[in-house]
Amino acid sequence: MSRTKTHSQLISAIADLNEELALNLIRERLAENDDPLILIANCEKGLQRVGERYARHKYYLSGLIMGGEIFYEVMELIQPAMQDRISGTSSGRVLLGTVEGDIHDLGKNIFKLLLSCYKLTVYDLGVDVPPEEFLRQAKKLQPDILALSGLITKSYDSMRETIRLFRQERYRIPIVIGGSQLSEEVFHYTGADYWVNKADVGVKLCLRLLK
Amino acid sequence: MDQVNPGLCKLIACAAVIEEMSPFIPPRMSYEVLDFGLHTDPESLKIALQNAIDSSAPDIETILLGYGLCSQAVVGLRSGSRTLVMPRVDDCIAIFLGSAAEYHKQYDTVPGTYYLTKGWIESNDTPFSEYDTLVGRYGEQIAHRVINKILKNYTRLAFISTGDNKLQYYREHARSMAERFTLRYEEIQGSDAIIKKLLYGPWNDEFVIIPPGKTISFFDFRENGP
Repeated sequence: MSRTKTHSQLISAIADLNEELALNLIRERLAENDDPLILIANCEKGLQRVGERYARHKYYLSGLIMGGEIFYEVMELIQPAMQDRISGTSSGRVLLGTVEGDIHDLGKNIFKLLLSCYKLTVYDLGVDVPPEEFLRQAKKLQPDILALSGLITKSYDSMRETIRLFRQERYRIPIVIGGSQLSEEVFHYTGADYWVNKADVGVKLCLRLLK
Repeated sequence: MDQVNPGLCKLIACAAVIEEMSPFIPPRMSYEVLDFGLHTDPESLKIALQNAIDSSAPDIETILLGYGLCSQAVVGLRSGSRTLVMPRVDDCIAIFLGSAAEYHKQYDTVPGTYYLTKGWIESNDTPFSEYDTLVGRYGEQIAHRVINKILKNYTRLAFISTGDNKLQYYREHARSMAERFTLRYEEIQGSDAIIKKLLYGPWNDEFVIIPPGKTISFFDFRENGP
């Protein structure tokens, strides 16, 4: 089967939430030494279709979550191949967590997995993390970047509170906020240094900040 | 602005909240209900809201919005020639609970709470209603797995008990869903305080008031500003 055909099959498998087919295609392509970055790009296209179908009410919330989960599983398979392509050892450390009052972590976990593909060290504090805990861990682990994740509106207040605490303590570190519903206004409200609403954009930003 | 003239007001509300509002809507107040399904796509909700605002009858001076920030769907709405009034809340859970303060209290107590009301259960647009659809399509095992993924990190299912006295069916439904997905079931007493204030005033600092010719901003929902 041609690579082009497999790639379009992969996009369709993700869009159709066919987990088994998607994972088999990934295993197959990895065995053929396909470029993992192209595989990731195809998965993202599939995921974009899932989002479009959700917006058109063809999928419900379960479809959206399932798409994200399949992407996560794909990334787990791709991770070793990605790491093989990147020379050297860990080039940076990111302290990550979903802020206090929020328990959503699908986006955060995908971001974490993508970062580890680039051999960055990720300290994941989990969900519902209080501002004081972020600061305590930052002092202990000395990360290069602080990444705060949140989905619900209430998380913006926690992001703001966490950032205020870091500033108040004069702890200097680039602070990135991430979440699918973030906006320019929310970014200004929180006082963060950077904002992203897509995991892959967040990874590119971190790599740039670490240069 | 304390005095509300119902004949000059129009209420635009989400289908999920109209049921709680309708017993209190003054007879001379016109109202429009928007599809609950719009909440899944904030951009579509924004367009539907702007259309509903713009197409109001010429004599309408004030539009009451039965919405919160709702994934920022209301951010960017233009008041045009009218005044917009809406609760200063993040979403309709606060409307059901009666205040932003109660909403924050509940979230601070148990952040991983899935909220249900009679209106939501009837809307058939919750992970629990999706469960049956998924069972039909993929079988019980996969359906269970998918819903458990949606509910990952959730520990409590809270049924908000509202003014309606025929809640037994919905209460039982919520309780059985909690059992099925191993969530702690709790019933929280709702309040119609914010609904009554929206419909009758006074519109104190619990409300966002957008004068004619202005646009709703995220900062209108945060007292402590940028």
